[in-house]
Amino acid sequence: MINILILSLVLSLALAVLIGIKRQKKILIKKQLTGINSIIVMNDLVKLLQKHRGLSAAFCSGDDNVIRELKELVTHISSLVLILNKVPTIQANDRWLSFNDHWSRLSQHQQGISAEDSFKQHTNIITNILYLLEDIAEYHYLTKEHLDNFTNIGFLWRELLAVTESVGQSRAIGTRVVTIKSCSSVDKIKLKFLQQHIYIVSEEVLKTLLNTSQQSELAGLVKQSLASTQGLTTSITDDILNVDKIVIDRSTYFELATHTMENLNQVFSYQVRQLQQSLQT
Amino acid sequence: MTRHFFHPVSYLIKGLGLNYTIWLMILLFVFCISGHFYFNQQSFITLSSVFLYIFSGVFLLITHEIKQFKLLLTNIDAKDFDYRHISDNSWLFSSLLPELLRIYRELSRINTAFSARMSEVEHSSVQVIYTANQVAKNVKKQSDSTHSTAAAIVEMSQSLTDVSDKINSVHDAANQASLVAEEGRKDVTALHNDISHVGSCAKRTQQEMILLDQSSEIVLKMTESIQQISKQTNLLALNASIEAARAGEFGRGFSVVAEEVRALAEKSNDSAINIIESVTKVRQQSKTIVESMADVVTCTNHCISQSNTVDNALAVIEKETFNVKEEVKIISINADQQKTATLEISEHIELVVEGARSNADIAKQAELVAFHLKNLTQST
Repeated sequence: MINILILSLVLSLALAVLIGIKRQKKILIKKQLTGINSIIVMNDLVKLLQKHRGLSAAFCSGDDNVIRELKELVTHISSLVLILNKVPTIQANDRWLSFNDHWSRLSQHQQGISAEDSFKQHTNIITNILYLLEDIAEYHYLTKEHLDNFTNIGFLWRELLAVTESVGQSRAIGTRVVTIKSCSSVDKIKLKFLQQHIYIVSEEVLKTLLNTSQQSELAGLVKQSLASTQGLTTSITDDILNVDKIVIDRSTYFELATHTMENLNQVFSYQVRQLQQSLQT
Repeated sequence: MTRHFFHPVSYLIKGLGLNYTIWLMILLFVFCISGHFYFNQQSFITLSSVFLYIFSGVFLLITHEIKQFKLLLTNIDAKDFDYRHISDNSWLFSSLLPELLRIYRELSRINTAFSARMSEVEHSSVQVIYTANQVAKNVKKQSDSTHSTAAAIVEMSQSLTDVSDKINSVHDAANQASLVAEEGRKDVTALHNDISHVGSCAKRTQQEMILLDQSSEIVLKMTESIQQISKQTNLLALNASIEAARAGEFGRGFSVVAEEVRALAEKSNDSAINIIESVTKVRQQSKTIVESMADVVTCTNHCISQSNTVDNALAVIEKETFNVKEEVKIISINADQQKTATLEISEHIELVVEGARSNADIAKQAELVAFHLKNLTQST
């Protein structure tokens, strides 16, 4: 009788362990999916903030034609902020609170700040969101330890987005430089730094992604991104930094940088989609 | 081997969690202690064995987890700062590790920001090197240019000294010319006076010649009177001869006298004719002299007029020479002032050259400092 009791106890324990492990796995996947959804919204927020940075620079330089577009962007960003404000893990986060405070001031006071200050503040706010995105990914177990098929997932949350942001910054600075056809020492320093960052990180990250990608679609996207980042860094060096007179057309440079950003964003979106599908199945 | 032996315990902890596992152990322990009174020995031993197995497993696994965690901490590369390399499936530190990773992640961000800043400092130092190099080149050019300018100004100063000397010579020459003009004017005045004197003498001579002419005319008239008298005397002598002839002998002596008187009358007449001829000649000559004297007076007047013109011209020359002298004096003073000024400029430019050389050295130092800065950032 006692033996049966002990046996049933052991079996119950084994069953509890099995159920516990399964439940943990389910909770983990749910948490990961929630994290991915938040990350998708945050990535969209970053894209809009990057666009807002460009338009704000134009506005601060005296272009009043962008006011309508800026207002639309602020509305769009506010809708994304509302979505993220409802996510419990984000709403209490220090970085998010800091973003809300900063954004509420930055979106309201565009007239009182210089183009340079506006650029700096937007860059800080974007960096903050990128750090938050990485924290959220980590918090939601979106790491290679918990995602066996995505060994390079860490690159996605940090380096890939960072290099996209560097391309965004080089687009903002470079477009201004090629518009006025003059590159100051400080602009040269910033562009050299960004060019080096884009080159090193894209070489490291994109080549690793290319070498480890098993899907041909991803490989194609990575190749495109690699080619466009190489084209952009070459253009920065040959058309802006190492020339006495800048001759490259504003729209040519802007299109090149935008195309590079789109390619990098496509790699990110594809990987996130793959991750989402993998977790849902 | 031991770990494999305790795999079920490991799963138990993973499934139930450490807290529930410890509660289970406490429960088993209570069962074991109390079971001693109402379990049979075999059941007691089985239950005690299960408890001991779980207890030993938990103990060993905790020890293993602590060791693993220590190893994990030991293996952390302080230079890497990449939290993604820290992976551990620890169940004991499952709540502690994320917090540790969060701190490490923040540290890695600070490190990334610091590295980015260092990288920017490196690029800045490269830019500073380039700028300092450019400044050094420009300052060198400026120094060379200023040096050339200084040399040119020294040459100009020397040239101005020559100009000043020449101006002084010109001033002396003008001074001399002024003196000569003054002397000339005096001479012209003396000449003017002499010519005036000659003119007055000529006038006086002309007057006297007129008087002489008048006297000659009187003489001529008197001579004509004498001639008339001699003619009448001749006629009288002829009458006397005739009367003497009529008187005959008595008249012979008278005829001789009459002849003598007639001869005298003829001689007087001849002398009168000679006098008239001479006086006429004298008058003609005096007339010529008067005319010449008139020409002399005219010429003298013309000479006086010319000498007045020359005197006026010399007065103008003297005045202009004086003006030239004064102007040259002013130019000489200006040239001296310019010479002094160019010397001062030259000295100042020498100072500028020195400053430019000093700046070039400073720029070179700045370049070296920037290189040093670059090396420092690279070494970090």
